[in-house]
Amino acid sequence: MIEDEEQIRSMYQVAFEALGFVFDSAGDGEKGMEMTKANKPDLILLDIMMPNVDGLTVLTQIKNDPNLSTIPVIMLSNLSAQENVDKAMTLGAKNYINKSLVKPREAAEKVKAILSNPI
Amino acid sequence: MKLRIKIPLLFLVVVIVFMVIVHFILSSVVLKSYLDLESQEAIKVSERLQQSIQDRLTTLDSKSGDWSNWDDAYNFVVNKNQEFIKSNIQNTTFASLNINFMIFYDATGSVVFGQGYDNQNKKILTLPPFFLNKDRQQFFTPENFSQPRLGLVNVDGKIMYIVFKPILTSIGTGPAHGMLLFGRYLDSQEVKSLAAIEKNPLEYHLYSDTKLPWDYKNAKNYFQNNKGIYLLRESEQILGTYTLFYDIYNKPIIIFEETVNRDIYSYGKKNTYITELFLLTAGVATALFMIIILLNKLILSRLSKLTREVQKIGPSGSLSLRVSSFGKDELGTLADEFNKTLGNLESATQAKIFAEQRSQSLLGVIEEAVIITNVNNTIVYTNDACEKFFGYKKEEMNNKLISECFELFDKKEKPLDRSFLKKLVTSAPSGNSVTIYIKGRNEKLAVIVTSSEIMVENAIRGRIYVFHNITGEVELDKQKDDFFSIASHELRTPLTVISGSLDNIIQGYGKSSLSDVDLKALQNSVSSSERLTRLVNDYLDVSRLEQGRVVLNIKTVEADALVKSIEVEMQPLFAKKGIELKFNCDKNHGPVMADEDKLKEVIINLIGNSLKFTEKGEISINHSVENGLLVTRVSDTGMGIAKDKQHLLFARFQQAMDNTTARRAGGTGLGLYISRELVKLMGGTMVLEKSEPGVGSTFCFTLPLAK
Repeated sequence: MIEDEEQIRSMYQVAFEALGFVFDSAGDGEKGMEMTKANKPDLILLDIMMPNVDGLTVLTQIKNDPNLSTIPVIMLSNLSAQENVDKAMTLGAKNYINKSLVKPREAAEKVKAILSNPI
Repeated sequence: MKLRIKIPLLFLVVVIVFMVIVHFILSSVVLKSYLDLESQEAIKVSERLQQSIQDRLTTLDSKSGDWSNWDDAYNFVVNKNQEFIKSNIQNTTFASLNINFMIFYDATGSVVFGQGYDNQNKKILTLPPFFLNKDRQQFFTPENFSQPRLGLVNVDGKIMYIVFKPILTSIGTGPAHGMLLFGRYLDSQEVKSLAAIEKNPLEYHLYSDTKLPWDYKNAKNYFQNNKGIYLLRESEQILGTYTLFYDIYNKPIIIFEETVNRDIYSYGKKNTYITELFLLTAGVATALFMIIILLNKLILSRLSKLTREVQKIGPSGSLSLRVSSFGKDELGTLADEFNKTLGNLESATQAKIFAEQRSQSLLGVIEEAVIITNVNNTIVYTNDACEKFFGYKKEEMNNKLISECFELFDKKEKPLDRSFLKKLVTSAPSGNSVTIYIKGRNEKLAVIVTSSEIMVENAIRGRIYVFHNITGEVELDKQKDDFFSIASHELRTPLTVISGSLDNIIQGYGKSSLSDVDLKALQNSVSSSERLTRLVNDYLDVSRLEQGRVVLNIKTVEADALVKSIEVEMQPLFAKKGIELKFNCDKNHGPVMADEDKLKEVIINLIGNSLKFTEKGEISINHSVENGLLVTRVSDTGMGIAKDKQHLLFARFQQAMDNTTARRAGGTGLGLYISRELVKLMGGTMVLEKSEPGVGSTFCFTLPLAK
């Protein structure tokens, strides 16, 4: 998970680990890219509004990196405007979750569904 | 009085008066003098007749003289020797003397010889008793006997010239031995002869005649009191001249009427007529002349005066001047009307000046920039606000096209077509408002532009554009919006953490076991934080809607399928409340044009509302096609909405319920407002179709069908 809010990172960690995921997180886009390159995770939860490098830039970098481009990315944002959704989907995001309306448990279920059904 | 009556009347009066005077003068003076002349001429005629008769008598007298002063005759009346008669007096003697009677009396008055002879008929006439009875005849009296007499006498109703002379010796010495009488009838032959001398028709009647014609009677009456002649103007052509003659006893005996042609009178009359005609011509000319003078006085001079006064007013330009009063005829009326018109013009002009100044002041004072163009979109007027707004001087803008001075941008700050403003005004000539950005020399400004065509007598003479500067408001809105977005985002994060973390605890991810009380408390906290999140989201939606920032993804949407999926999705909620959800689609209609996500949001909102306020019964959804639109009706058997609250339904932050109900239902009060705004954006409308407290409500919205 690449997310600038520490509280949200820890909240998601609790829920994902409880549901059997190996969960690691980064506090900004730059760190997130490093970790992604180093660990090559099965799936990335990506926030949009972050300081320095924002989520959409990170998404672009991931999708432009042939080694990383196959990793599914789920956008996790409070920005509910359709234009943000469209933009993210165009850039290659797998899904777009409104962070304020979805609980970590529900997000984890969605991730599980995506990973078990990789098409 | 009107001039058109005044002038002809004046003309008529002048001519009539003139003619009356002329006629009076001519008839009383000139024609009378002709009549006098005629009378004098008639007197001459009469005198000539008298002279003719006197001449007869004189001739008779001279002829008798040869016989009375003759020795033979002197002796004869003494000796009565018939030889004298035989040798001197034959019938032819009468003819040669042109007499009818010859009588010799002796000194005693007895007839010595007397004979009468009709020369025409060659007949001997007997002596009338008149000549024999000396006692009855005045001139046979002894004292008169020797006196010669001559004159007219009436002998038994016949008029006769007689001469009565003493018979003397040849040398004319006496004593007279007797008297000699010559007599001659004044018969019709004689009258003809007199008429021939007079060269006029001549008639006569005896004075003593008892059966006189009327004119003779008049003459006789006249002669009883007057002398001279009596004139009777029988006609225009004929004048009767009556002359009275006396006999030798100096008694009236005969009236002669000589008929004279009235040449003098005719001539006089002709002259008078010619004179009158001449004077009439002269009179008319004079009258015309006078009229021209009067015309000048009555009209032309006044007209000139009026013209001068009007000319004075013209160049002065002062509408407060007036022409002076001109009486009560047409000219007066003209002057009055002119003054009245001036008055009207003056007040109209003052009103116009006031209106202009008012407009000028208004345009100068208002905060809106006003640009007026002619029909070719060339700027003809700009107000003070224009200079302030756009950074141009007025002179820089005048006579330029709008497109030369300004750049226009739409709401999203994309450049607009050059003819945008013109199109705007022509699309709604009576006034139209739109928000755009406009850039002159200064910074770009957000303005609401209102435009209108200037119509003069049904023709477009120009256009007026009013720019209301809303840059400040737009900026403020933007700041507010930014603030709202940030605030919402900032609020959401902690809320997300709260509800997510609580959910983690409830799920037991922390491996801790919870008491029922703790669990309940945590569940309440989760639902409250969820509600708070919904509120924040709704506020954000409202904010976006009002900013016009909601971007719709309009596509064809199978509305029936969408409702069915919602039905399935919401089924658990209905099951929990024990309420039935029915979906009726009356026929197979095509898809609608809509944003699927927003449409879903709208339908869920309506069903959710109904569900919130319905405790038993059912909620039904109906699809039908009306007027080419898909109509979606959501009906419930819920508590319904009172009539006086219905108007609050679609207002922001309003719930038509009392506070307790609303709180229990957990709404934000923004759902219907947002739903209706979304429907509007998708080209439809939303209304509360009917609602009755305790019976239920029906909400209804439309969407355009895909073609």
